[in-house]
Amino acid sequence: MARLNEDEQQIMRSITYREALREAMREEMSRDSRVIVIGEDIDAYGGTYAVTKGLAEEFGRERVRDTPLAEEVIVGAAVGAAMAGLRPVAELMTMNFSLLASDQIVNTAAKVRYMFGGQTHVPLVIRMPAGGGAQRGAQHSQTLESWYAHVPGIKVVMPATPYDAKGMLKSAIRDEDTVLFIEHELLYGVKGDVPDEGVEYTVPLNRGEIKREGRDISLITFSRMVHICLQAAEELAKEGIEAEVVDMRCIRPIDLDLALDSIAKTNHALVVEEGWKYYGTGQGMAAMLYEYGFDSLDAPIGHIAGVDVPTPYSKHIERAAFPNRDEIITAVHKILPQRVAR
Amino acid sequence: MHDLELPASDLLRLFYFLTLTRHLDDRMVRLRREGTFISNFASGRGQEATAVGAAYALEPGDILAPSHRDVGAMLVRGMTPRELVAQWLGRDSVATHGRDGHLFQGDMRDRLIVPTTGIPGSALPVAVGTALGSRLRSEPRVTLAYLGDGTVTVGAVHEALTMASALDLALVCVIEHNGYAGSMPTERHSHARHLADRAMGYGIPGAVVDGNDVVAVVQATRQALQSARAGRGPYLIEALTFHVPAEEEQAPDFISREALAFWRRQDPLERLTRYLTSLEILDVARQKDYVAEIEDLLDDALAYSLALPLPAPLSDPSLCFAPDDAPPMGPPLIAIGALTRERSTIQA
Repeated sequence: MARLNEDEQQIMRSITYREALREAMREEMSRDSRVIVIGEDIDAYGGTYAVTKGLAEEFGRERVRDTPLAEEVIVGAAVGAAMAGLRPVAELMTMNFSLLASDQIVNTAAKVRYMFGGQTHVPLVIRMPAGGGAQRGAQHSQTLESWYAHVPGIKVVMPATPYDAKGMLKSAIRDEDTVLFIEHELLYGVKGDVPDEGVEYTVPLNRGEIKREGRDISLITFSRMVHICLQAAEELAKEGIEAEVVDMRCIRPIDLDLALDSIAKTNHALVVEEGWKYYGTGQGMAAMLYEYGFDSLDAPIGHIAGVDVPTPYSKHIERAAFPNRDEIITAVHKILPQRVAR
Repeated sequence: MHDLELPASDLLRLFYFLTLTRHLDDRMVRLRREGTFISNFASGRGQEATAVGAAYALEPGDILAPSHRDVGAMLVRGMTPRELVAQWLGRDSVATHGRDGHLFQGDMRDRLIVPTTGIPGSALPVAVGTALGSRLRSEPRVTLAYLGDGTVTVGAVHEALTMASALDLALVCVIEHNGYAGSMPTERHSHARHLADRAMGYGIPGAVVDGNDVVAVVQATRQALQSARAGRGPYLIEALTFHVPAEEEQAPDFISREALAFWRRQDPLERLTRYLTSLEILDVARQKDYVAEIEDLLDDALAYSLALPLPAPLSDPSLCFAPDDAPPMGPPLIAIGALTRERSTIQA
């Protein structure tokens, strides 16, 4: 975690990821009257995951704007509103529905600054939950950040903790460019330490963070898998293996130096992600580590990812489709055989 | 044709813009055929009255979202032939530095032209957003968006009209109905009598106008703008027009020669010329003066553009993102105007 000074530590309290996001929006809406929130069911229903609950009552239904079911125009209108001088936060019910808005994300938001020679930029946040594990089936459980991170012109972030969720959402709202803010549907109820409401802090959109220090292997990961890696690292520590958990948290731009510094210390790396293996975020990260950090490595980089099928519904087989603690431990043992014997 | 529905000074301005648009278009088509300078230019020949007339009806603070054949609208909005030609020739020292703009240019600070998209139909959701921005900033601006008849079948247009209607946004959509979506004639994708009939489904006003009668286009657009500005929500205008190349052999084979001949007789520039001549606002000598002035302007624009350097390769990814000192996005705020509905009090 980011180190806070003594004063700040005294005013920490434990809140959920959901509450952290809500606080970020509330604080930014109070701070800047140009900030608006737009999306489906965000008013009376409080958003699909209750993140926006209470905002309409507090800031009015002009600034917290329920829309028809129309993802393409939610994002397109948010782009236009940003061009016209507002700072919209668009909420998509899930990342799966972002496919319906992908033309506006990829062809408009990402491109206009470059295409038009800097005449305009798009200060816009698009929030969306991603990920599986809640038995929502194949079409509602996807993690598609790599599709967007592939495109020049958009920033893509995936916070794992309430502290990061709040600090990064505040940064995203203040950012002058389009930020895809990808939450995880299983993290909304997760609690963590966050400074009191109104205590100002932000987390930058281009820095990862070491969530646990270790000397033996770097677990390169992000979003919910940070927590699974931390669990695995606890277990590994019992057998004397000290795994370093590197939370990349910013997918693009990526804090490559953080990962390179970590593997320079540990000389071993395992990339852990929830999404599919092929042509995805994890492979991209591994490729960059090979390209720029090959000399640091004593063994090939391992890679654990979601099983290469559409996410199944039944709890039993759904659970088997995502990486778990034991898989990570087994993979670490394969990369560090000599350490197991120690 | 008309009584004098617009002051003579307006009629002459319209004549100037129609002539400028026509001559610029013809010149660009010639350059494109020569193949030396230009990779792409979407001619709007024959449709100038719609492009010029609707944009002419706008107030200076209104926002324009043009489509790809709307050079006339951009000229009315203050884009200069120098800017446009240099842009099409892919030169440096223009706003986009050659990175794009073969179809579109944008300016959200001064002339309020939405930097739009080449994806058919995708500009309308963005125009909904600029209208939403105006509303939340309590500004009396209306956004006017052009779309082709081909794009009315695109899902984004349906979503945009649904949202604009649901939120009562000040948005005027002008469908430039030129009879063909690519090679598909309208009757093969729509069984509706008029494309403007779609307005009924959104619960908004719709109107059909002779898109080759520039005065009628100005008047229909003014009525729509007034309605939108008064807080009565979006408005759909269907302007009937046709794309008529300078020479018949330039028209694709799938377009019937009878239709071409019909629409050539409806040429918007010739119709306005006849009208102004009949009113004795324009005579042959004055017409020649206009043409000479415009030809000089275009000679200058071409010479200026050819003298500009070609852009250097631009591979710096930071060009995609705003610099730290980027000015706030959006036009300067304008005062609260005629919009009547209850509004929030957002300030920039």
